[in-house]
Amino acid sequence: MTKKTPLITRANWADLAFFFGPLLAMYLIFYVFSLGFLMYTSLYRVNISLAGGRWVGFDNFRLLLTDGNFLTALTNNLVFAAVAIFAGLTIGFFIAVTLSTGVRRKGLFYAAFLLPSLMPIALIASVFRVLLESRFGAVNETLRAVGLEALAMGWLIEPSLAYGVVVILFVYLIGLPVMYYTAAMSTINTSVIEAAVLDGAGTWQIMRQILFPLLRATHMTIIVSTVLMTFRAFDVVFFSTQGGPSGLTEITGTYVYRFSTSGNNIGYGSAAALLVMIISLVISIVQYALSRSRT
Amino acid sequence: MKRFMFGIAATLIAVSVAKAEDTTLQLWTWYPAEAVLTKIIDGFEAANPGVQVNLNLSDSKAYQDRMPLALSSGDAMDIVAVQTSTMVNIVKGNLEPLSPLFTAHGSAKIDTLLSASALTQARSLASDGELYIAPMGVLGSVAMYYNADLMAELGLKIPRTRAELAAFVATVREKRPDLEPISFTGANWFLDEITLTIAEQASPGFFNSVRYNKGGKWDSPQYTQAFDAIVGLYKDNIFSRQTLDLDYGRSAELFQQGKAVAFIQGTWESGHLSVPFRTANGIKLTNVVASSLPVMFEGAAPSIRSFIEVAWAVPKQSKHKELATRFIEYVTAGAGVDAWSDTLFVVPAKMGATIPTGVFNSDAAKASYDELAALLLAPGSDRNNVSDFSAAAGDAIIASINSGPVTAVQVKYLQTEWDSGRYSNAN
Repeated sequence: MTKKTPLITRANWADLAFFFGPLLAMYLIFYVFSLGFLMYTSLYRVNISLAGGRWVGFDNFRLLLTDGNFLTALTNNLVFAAVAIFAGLTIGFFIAVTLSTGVRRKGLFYAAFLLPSLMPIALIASVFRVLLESRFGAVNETLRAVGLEALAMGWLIEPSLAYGVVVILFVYLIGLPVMYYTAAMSTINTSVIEAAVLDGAGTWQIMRQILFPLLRATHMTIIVSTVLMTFRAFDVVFFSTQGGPSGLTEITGTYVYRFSTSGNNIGYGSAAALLVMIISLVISIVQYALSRSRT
Repeated sequence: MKRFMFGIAATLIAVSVAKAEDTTLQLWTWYPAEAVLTKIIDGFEAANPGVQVNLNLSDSKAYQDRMPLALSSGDAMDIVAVQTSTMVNIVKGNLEPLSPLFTAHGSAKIDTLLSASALTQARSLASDGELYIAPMGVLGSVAMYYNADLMAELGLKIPRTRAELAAFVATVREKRPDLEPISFTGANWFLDEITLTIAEQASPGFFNSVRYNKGGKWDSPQYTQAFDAIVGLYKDNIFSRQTLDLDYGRSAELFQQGKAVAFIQGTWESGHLSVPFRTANGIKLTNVVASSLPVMFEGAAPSIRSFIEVAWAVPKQSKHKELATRFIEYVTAGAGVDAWSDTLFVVPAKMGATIPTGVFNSDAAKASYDELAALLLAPGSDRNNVSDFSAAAGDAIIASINSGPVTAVQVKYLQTEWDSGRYSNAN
């Protein structure tokens, strides 16, 4: 009797190196090295040449945590994340469910909602900025042209309006949640909905009491990805308000950028980047733990 | 045997000629524009047969990041441009002191080629007082540029005081509401520039006293007065709040398109006065004049903070230090100055430099350039900015314009920030 060779054999070291080597090398260069670089420089007062740095211990972190602007940036991250999550879980969910019911010109609607998420965010934010410019921006020019001059405002100048503009930009990028929900809904067993319809459930009840609970795993995916997205949403803020007026819409990304590029102490920027990374990691772990405990 | 020797000699000559022809200088810079650099390089190559210059041009921000790293990594570099106020102490460890190089390879000692004030500023930038950079010239902020044709149409004169500035703005708004009276970016760093100019009008030397730790304070009466003045310009609607969301590019564009009568920026925008510069850059304006910022207080005098800018240096790793020195002399103090001086970006540091004929198309334009140049060469303070702190100062000004904290609170906050150790002023 001949011994059969299993279809999947135990991989040897050469195979492993061949398949995983390039990925591992990339990981080591771009993640491990970068992380080590951040950790090292965050403990120094050092300029971009990286020569002649001075050991300052945790002083960069002390300065960071006593800077009101950094705390504002951190708070803004969380606020923008909360808004984006809320919009994703409500508007995004509603759009996805509506489009999955077979409305006409579905493709057109999908394109309209997904396009902003597929285009470079820097481009969208820049267009917003030009449109909303107070003196010659298209929005105010149009309002003036139709006799609504009173509504022509300093969208990017007035603190509350500028904050609102950034919030709207985050809501505008709703395509990703729509995509997640659309994909998840295609896996739902339609007999559940058919049964609900036969039992006399209305649209609202189906959405709220059946579909929404069934998509719990998708909610968690959206929450985690949105929170992480807002920590990386440098381009949304930088190209729209540049963190202004007076740092009011600053997020951690723009804060790190400001200190990493305009000053002589990149150690301070590294400390900020490291702290932000730790915070986002903690948030992800907490959310992951919560999602595990509920499933 | 003779034939053999002749053959060897010919081969050696051929090899040495080929070697000279192979000499390529690696030039790194972010400025001037590529067209101007090409003109400079072509002139240098023509004057130095067998030498080629390879240009590595980046935009300003990328250059700030890339050049110091390339320098410390030992990349092939023969000539590097240095952003004066931000880079010297970062890169000086990788640069050759220039005085010995000029003495050995230049046509004369560097102190006889470039103005004493420019070289003093260049030396003051290095913590060891050594001269590592040769500046192209001096620039400063802030200045006002005017569309002279629109001014003539509206019967306006260059404003010299705050009251005249208010009248200037009121006239434009009344007669041509479709125009912006004054265009400038309300970005935080630029509001800081304007405020410091106002402070210098009343208290020459104020900025230096703070910058170089000579007893100046942000919460002093001098700065408090200037802070109040700029907030007052907005509160009195002399400066429009609509400037606050204009970025640099858009504000310049409005002026260049004839949608704004005046434009406030640094003297690096003096190219607007130059006919060749306007032609080369497609600027349609036909008559431009300039002035210093109108004085804001009685008894104050016009002022511009100025500093050397775009300086050249020889990296230690250069294998062609002699040629590199000759290039630097050519571009800062030699025939190469004529290739860029019509851009009016800086007032040249070259001893006895003159602006080429044909640059100005009116006596008024020439006179206004002379006015700016005179202020640049006799500044109250250096424009040796601390850019990360400038952003903080500008943000405080914007907050007060937006009815935020009162001036007294803001200037105290700025002094605390300055002392915090968070910014580049700290060692």
